[in-house]
Amino acid sequence: MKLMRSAHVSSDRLGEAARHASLDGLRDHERSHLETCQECKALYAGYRLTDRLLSSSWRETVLPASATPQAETNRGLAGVLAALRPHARSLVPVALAFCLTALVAFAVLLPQLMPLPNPASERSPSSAVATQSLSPSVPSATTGTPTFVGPQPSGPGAGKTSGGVAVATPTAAASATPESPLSVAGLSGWPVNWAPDGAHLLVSGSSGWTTQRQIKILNASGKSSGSFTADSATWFDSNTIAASTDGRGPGSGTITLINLSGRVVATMPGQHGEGGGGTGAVVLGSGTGEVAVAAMGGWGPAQSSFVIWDGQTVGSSHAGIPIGFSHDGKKLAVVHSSGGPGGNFSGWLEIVSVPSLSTVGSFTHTSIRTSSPGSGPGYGPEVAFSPDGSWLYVSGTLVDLSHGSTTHVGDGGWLPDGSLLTSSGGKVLRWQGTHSTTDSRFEAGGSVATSRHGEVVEFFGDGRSPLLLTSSGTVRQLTLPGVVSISDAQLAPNGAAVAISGRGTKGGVIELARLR
Amino acid sequence: MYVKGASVLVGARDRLDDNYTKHFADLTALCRALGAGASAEDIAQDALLHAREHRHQLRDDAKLDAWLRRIAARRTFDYLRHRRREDDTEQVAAFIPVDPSISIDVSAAVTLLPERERVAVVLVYGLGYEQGEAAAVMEVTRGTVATLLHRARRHLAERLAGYAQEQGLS
Repeated sequence: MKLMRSAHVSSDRLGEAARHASLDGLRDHERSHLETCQECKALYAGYRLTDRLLSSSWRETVLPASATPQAETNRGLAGVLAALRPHARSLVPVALAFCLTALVAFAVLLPQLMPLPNPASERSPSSAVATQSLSPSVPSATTGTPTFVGPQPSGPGAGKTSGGVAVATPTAAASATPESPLSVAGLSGWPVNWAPDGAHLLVSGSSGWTTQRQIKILNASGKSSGSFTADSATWFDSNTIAASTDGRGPGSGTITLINLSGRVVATMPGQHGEGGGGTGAVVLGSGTGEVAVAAMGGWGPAQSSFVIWDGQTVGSSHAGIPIGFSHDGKKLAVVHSSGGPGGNFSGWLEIVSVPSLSTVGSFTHTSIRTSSPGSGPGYGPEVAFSPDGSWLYVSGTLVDLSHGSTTHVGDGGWLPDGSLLTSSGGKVLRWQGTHSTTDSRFEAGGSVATSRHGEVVEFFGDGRSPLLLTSSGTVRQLTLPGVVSISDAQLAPNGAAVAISGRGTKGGVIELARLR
Repeated sequence: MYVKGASVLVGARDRLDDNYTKHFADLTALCRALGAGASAEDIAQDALLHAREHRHQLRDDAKLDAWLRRIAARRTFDYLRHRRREDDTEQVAAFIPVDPSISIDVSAAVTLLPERERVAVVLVYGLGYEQGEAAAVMEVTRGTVATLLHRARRHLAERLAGYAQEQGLS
């Protein structure tokens, strides 16, 4: 399951707004995000100050050496290398001799150091170092500690509170051995979007001041398999991406299906786009072979409508704004909004079946409000059905689909056993239905992201290293060199990797960590 | 071709000598802006002497200014690299934007930019060069200069974000 978390307004968009000293150029959801996000506010203010500073008069002045570039480069390895550079030529023979000696010594000693094969102790070197098994013998019933339930082979819901469940404590988490993730790219902090099977992800880079951007298709090791240019993209299925590209004017966008090499394999008949003349067609993928697409001229505030396209047939139009498919792609949550298009809108909730679009549940008295990551590579409100389909998580609100009641729960995601893990008020809460308990395994002040497989990542915006709780109950501390603050973490649905977005010392970064 | 080339050479030499004072001032300002400090005049003078000795290398008289600046910039960068290895002085000269209402510590953030970004910012914002002129000095394309300026602005904004918000700027 994938929850799109609320991401920040992109740095480029803030920069453009600051250049014009006006927020008018931002979209509605970007403006509303900016009102509440201190980090984006600060960055916008930083751009304003930068422009003011650069347009000032320049003059030569004397500064302490500690404030200049050479002071920075003289620190750490760079400083050592800089100091060695004048003597580099004389050091080359010495270094070669040292390497040769080390190689010979390694070859001689290797057979003595190699242990005999022991199947019982066989596991990957990285997991042996980076993970710490936590006591499985602490029954939650006796300690009062909420139990973390990983995925059970017997199916959903099995063994919710049974013994033998691994319990991670904050102490254990703090002593976890750091694991360095694999850095994929130093991008501008665009959100990532995992494929349903977790084998690939989309990473979007900026292409200047336009909304259209290059979107890379990477595998879970960070290797690019292709790229394409589009305004937004979503996963049609695990091997296909649905992309929308603006046309000239309202209702003139095109929708294409793209394979993992970045090649167009199908084009949706007709042209589609926002009725309000905004950013073109909006697409929402099910991950199971369908995509909900804005019907021609259908994204106006009062007459929003959409169609389902399965790659061959375009279904009939249905009123409302699609906000989230169920995991099996057979149900779709729809909002009947009185607001405009884009990521944020409120209205009443309807659940329809796919592809017939017949109404399964209609909650005309249930008002919900959605938010979306905004300037990412895909339209994706923070919406997710529970594993059994009886609850709906919508941007921090839990909706009981049996009668439409709502509960504010905070940001988070579902676990395979049907419980919801959220962060609210500085605590991590675990929800069974509308009943919550504080999950003391997590540190205070963090945000959580979950995978369908049961992994949980708790991350912090204050510089603390994120913690990974695996589905088997082990905990790792992920070290992220060069990352100053983390704004988002997205686990692959299969829990095999996590993509962490944040700001580094040199701008936005996305770090990718393989977890198994 | 020979005659045309000769006339170009003569033109360049004449312009170089006739406008020595102007070129010297221009190059000194450039070297200072790039961080040469008190050595700026020496580097500028050295660059002009080098240009005079190698003026036959200039094929287009119209590009004399850019050629001189390129020579001066190269020599300044060489000087700065040499100074970074050997100099451990506690104070250095820096060419930075100065706004009376903004702390000098904030202005100094410009000096912490990556070198290529800092040079692009100094040339375009500090010395008022056109992007094409800056590109000629840096021996890169105009597009590269635009990219460097874009990145520099973003890096500065990120570095100054906290301070800007504390000051209530919005």
